[in-house]
Amino acid sequence: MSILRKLLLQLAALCFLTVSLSMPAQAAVLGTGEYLALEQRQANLDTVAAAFAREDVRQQLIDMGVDPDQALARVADLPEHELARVAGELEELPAGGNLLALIGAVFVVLLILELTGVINIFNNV
Amino acid sequence: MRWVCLACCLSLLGCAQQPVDVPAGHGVELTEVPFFPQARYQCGPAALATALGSSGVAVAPEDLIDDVYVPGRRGSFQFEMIAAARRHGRIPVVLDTAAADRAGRLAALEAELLAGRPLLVLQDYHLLWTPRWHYAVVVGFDQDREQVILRSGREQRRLESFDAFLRRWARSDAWAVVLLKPGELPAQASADGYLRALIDASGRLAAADFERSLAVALRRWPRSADLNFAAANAARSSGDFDAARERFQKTLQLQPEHLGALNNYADLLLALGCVSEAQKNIDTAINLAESASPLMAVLQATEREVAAAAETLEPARCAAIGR
Repeated sequence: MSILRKLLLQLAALCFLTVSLSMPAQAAVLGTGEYLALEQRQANLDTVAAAFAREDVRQQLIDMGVDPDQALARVADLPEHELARVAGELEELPAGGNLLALIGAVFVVLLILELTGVINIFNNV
Repeated sequence: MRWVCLACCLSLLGCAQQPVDVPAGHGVELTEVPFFPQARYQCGPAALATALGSSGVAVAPEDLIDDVYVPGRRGSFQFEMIAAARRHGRIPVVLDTAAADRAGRLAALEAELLAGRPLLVLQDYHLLWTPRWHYAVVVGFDQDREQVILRSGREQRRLESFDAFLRRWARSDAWAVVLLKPGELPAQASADGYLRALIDASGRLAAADFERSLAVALRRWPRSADLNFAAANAARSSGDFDAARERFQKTLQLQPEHLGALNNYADLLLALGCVSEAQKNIDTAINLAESASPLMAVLQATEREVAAAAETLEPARCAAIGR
């Protein structure tokens, strides 16, 4: 019984190996949906990067104890729906001049980043 | 869509019987749209059955309850409504009404109605501070009387003034969905919006229906790079390499920096034995892509494949295929 089983297992392993060897390498083709999702992600990352590059936003982040470059690097690891929220908030940043509105918008973004573990400032307060 | 996740159907206010007004003057009214009076709380299944029925899918609300009704919340989620429509072979398109103003929202409704399609909408008949979410189906539009005609709750022909309707609808960010048959196009959507909706529904569509829908969309938006890209991928999947090659070339002509097309075209060329052509495309893609691009991993995988093939394949093979 156990010999038969061993034999069968070896046979199965051999089959598996042969099949996987004879299959072509995984083709690196992008499905349309996959491509659109990745493009959207890139667009969101661009939005965040552009906002974080603004002098007034950078200053605001630093004032609140966040290193903008570090935060930006970590934003890139966010799952898509959270990244989309951050980008959505930053898209509505006031164009400039209105400091209070800017502080408000940056605060909301920081709150999202805090909740998603990108930064960790609020529990030090 | 962002914050409104759940729709609890109202049982009292929105479904209360109202005397049906005398029929309309000018405007559109889709009188053929079926009517399913809703059972307690279940406006989701009723409204969805109405919209599906109107697009040729005969299904009773009871058969949709398992799909869209969440007993604990006495309501249906928007994403479930959309997913259920997909399961029945329709392409749900969420209209671009969230960002539109009053006139734009009304125009969007009217455009779809004129095309013969009713709209599934989410309204809030809140009572004091309690939201009462309600799904209904817009079937008509009376410009003279400034009224919208709805299949709603237990009312087969509910009339709401533009003002009242827009107010209740605005609370869901004017969420409105049309259910398209394969090959139908939305009245107002962009190429991108339609393509996204089509791709999201494609898992439930027959390959022929999917390709036909793409072909129809390409007739309206021939210059959309992404639509050409999608058609190229579809042709490649169905083994039509010539059509795929043509579409990839068209995509790259419209948008030379289209990373998806550069990558997939390189892969196709590789399959055709055209290694140096493949190399050229994938090199272009990698030079264009930012190092942090989410596409980079795929591009590099393709590059490795091309490099591996370059060592083994004979260059003569590509010409033999007729490139």
